[in-house]
Amino acid sequence: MSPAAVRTERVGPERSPAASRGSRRRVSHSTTLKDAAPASYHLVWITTLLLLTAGICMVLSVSMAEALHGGDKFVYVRPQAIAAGIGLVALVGLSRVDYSRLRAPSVMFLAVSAVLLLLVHVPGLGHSEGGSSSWLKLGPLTIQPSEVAKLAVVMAGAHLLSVRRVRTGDFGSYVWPFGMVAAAMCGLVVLEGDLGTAIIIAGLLLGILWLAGMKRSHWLAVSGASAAVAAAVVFSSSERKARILSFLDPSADPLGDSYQLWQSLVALGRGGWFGVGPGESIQKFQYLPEAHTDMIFSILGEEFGLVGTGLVLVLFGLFALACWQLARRCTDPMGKYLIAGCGMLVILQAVVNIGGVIGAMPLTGVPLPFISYGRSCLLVMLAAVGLILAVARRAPARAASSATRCENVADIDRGRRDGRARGPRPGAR
Amino acid sequence: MTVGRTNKRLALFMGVAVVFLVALFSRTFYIQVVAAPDLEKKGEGQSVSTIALEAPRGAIYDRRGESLAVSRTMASVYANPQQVEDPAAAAKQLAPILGLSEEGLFAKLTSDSGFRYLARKVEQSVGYAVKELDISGVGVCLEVKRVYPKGALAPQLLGLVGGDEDKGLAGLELEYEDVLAGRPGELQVVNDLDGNRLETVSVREAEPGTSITLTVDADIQYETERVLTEVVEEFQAAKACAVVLDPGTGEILAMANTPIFDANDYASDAIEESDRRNMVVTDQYEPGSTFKMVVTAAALEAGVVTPETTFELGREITVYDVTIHEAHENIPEVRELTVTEILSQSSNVGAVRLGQEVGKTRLIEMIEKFGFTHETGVDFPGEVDGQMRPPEQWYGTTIANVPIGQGIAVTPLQLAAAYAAIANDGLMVQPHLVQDRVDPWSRRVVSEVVAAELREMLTVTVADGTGRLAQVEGYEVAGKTGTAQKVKDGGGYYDDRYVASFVGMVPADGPRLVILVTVDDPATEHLGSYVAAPAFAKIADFALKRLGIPPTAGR
Repeated sequence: MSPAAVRTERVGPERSPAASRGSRRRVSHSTTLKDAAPASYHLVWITTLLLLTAGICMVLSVSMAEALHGGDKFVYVRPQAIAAGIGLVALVGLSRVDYSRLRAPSVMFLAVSAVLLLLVHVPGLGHSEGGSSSWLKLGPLTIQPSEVAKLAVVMAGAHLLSVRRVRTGDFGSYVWPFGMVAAAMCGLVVLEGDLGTAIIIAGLLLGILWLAGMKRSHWLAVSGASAAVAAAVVFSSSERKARILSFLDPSADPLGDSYQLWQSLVALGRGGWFGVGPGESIQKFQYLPEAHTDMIFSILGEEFGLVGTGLVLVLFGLFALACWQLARRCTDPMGKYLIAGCGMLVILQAVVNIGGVIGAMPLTGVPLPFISYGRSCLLVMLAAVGLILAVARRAPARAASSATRCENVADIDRGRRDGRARGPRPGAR
Repeated sequence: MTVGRTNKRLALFMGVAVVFLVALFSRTFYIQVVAAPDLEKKGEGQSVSTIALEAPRGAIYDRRGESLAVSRTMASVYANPQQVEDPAAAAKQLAPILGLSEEGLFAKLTSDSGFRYLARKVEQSVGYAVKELDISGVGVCLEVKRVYPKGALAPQLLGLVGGDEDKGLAGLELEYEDVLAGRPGELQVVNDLDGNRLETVSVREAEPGTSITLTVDADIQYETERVLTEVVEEFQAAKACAVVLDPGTGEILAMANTPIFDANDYASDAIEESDRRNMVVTDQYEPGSTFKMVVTAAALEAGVVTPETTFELGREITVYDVTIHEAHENIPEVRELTVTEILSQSSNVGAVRLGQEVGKTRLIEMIEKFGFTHETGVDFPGEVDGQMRPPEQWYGTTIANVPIGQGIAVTPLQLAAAYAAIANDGLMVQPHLVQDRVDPWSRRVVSEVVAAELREMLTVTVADGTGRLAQVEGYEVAGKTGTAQKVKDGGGYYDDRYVASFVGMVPADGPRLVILVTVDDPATEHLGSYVAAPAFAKIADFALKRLGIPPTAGR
């Protein structure tokens, strides 16, 4: 997409409302998203840092429990902190990059992650842990290609679906190459036994297709087909079916299929309103398996109560809100899709994780973004935030728009940009 | 695709995200607030456990502070068979240390259970040795074991501690369970899945049991048991029992039963149930001649006779259809006996005459006053009372039986207590085994004068009557022999089976000891004067010296 096209799109609809509203309306060609919506921009990294901090604390708390069994009490928190450090550097670095130059690399990235997903199935390289063989051992590094794949799908989708060819709305242009490749990768992840991550990738794929303007009928057909495939996968094995559906009645088999969920609920219940206090969790002592990764939300709920879990949900909500504000004001389609995709990546995974942990949906075993232990996931999530910031710093912003129903929100951000006195109101809403 | 349409679709995303987040929060609220109490309770059920803190059991001491029963901390070796990696090697290592067979250990180590004791209550040094092997799945815990350091001493008296919770099950251990046991404490802890303690929720310290001090003197008890064992052997008797008590205080200095076995083996299968009985308190017998004291006391107390009152007596006496014979041979057709002589020569005919003089009512009254119809209330479990035909059921011939100790059953302790009342100037004191624990009652049975008269008559019995073998050098003894025919199970008496007994007091002019010896079914000799009286003398001789009671002046 050429800069000219971007400008045309941005400037076009703004002219007349700007004129009608008087002279303080000023159209700046150099206005970026960051300048247009500074509150949303800052909210993105602030919520990220807060969630990351909470995560490190929780991983430390669970890590300490290992000391009781003669383990290293920093066994989880040390690598996690290192990953967080590297991830933050990557975040800052990525945020300085001109995202429009990532078009070609994103395709490469998709290809590489597809290869990595294939390599997982190569004997000697793949590494199993906790029922799924999602890890790849490359020398001293252990990476989880499925985590990388999520970001690759978002980045490649943002590029491939924002090229002019796609804009014709032709079904085939959505399906090939992006749709097919992403679906294939999703299939590979299912083969790993990591149903949760596969659902996330499928969700991202469908989300981006929807956002990129796929016809409703086409989209519904694709979604329906995906749902059918997912159902087929789940119901193909009675064992898997029992495990997946155990969330419907966690007390039915508290020592079997629903053990983990049951223990998770016990942890949350112990927390109550205000929690049992930092580091005071009992459930982290072996009762709750995967307390440091997938189930960390319930340990957080045990130690900090509804106050803690509510706060985490609010932070994710604010993060979503900020992404939405940035995305809707972004006039560059690739930037728009990138922000929306990365935001979706974080929020979708958070919803699937928390939903599973609290027994609202099947427990599929995905980490909670920024909080769960898991270096690949953390790096990917921080990279995603870096991309959001990168777009926000470069992409041109639409100032006020009559095309949306959220003019007042736009007004707030615009007011700031105009240098008017700042009120106490938060920028994002 | 216009920006507007894209933004509409974006707004839909946001809407969906908000709906989801709100739904998640609602569900979280439900779990953490509404369902929380229930979940919390279930969580506690799995992680909070209650550990009983054993209260150390009180010890049992004799009157001089010698330990008769103590609790010692021992080691118990257990296994969690599911965690034992190499049962064969473990069995091989443990067998020599525990002194158990390798096969037996292997069977236990491979059994299908989560917990098995390999050896219970072994020496702590064994426990340390096992700990040092550091075998996975094999552990050592501490348990308290009741130990009777004196071994074969007063097993029937001390009793048994046992059961899952180490409670007193027999003897004094049972009687004083509440005192000895203390109150176990309770520790509530939070564990992880492996049982590692995370925190202590609450503690209630155990209240240690209180020790008790017996009135029993271990040495006198030992000597009494030794003498009884000897008597049983010498006369090939079935059993023997004895009680030594202080008439002034009711303190029991010894209470012995044969056979004697190691108190630590009380529960062993090798011990017959009947051998665990403390017959002195729990078994009735027909007292025979020792009971003649009662009718004499009744006659004196009623004033119908004096010790010098003379009776003209034949060889036998017939009351309705019952004829009572003298037990001794070589008795003249007709003889004159004083009341003292009736007692000292143990005349059956004389005793029946005295009974006739006193009459049924006064005799029954005296029997009741002596407490034969009630339990003594001694602090020992399983005490039985005496057995006497109710007054309204006395036949005309009953008056011919009871005065000579037939047709009435008493416990040895009741009889000893009755003689103790005579020894204590007519004042009966409750016999007891433990110091400062019972509030002994006392009550007058006969007047001081009658008591003194009886003591004098009993002194004659030993000095010049049937009880000569009960004499103790340097001391004047008062006492009475008894030879009772054993009652058949179906009623009636055996012709050739007896209970030989002697009950006496010493020194006669101010008794400090009352001793009763009964020997059940002696084979080679059956008279109380030959079987029981010498045993009395031996026990009395030892006890007098042991207690430092000075010999009677001038003797």
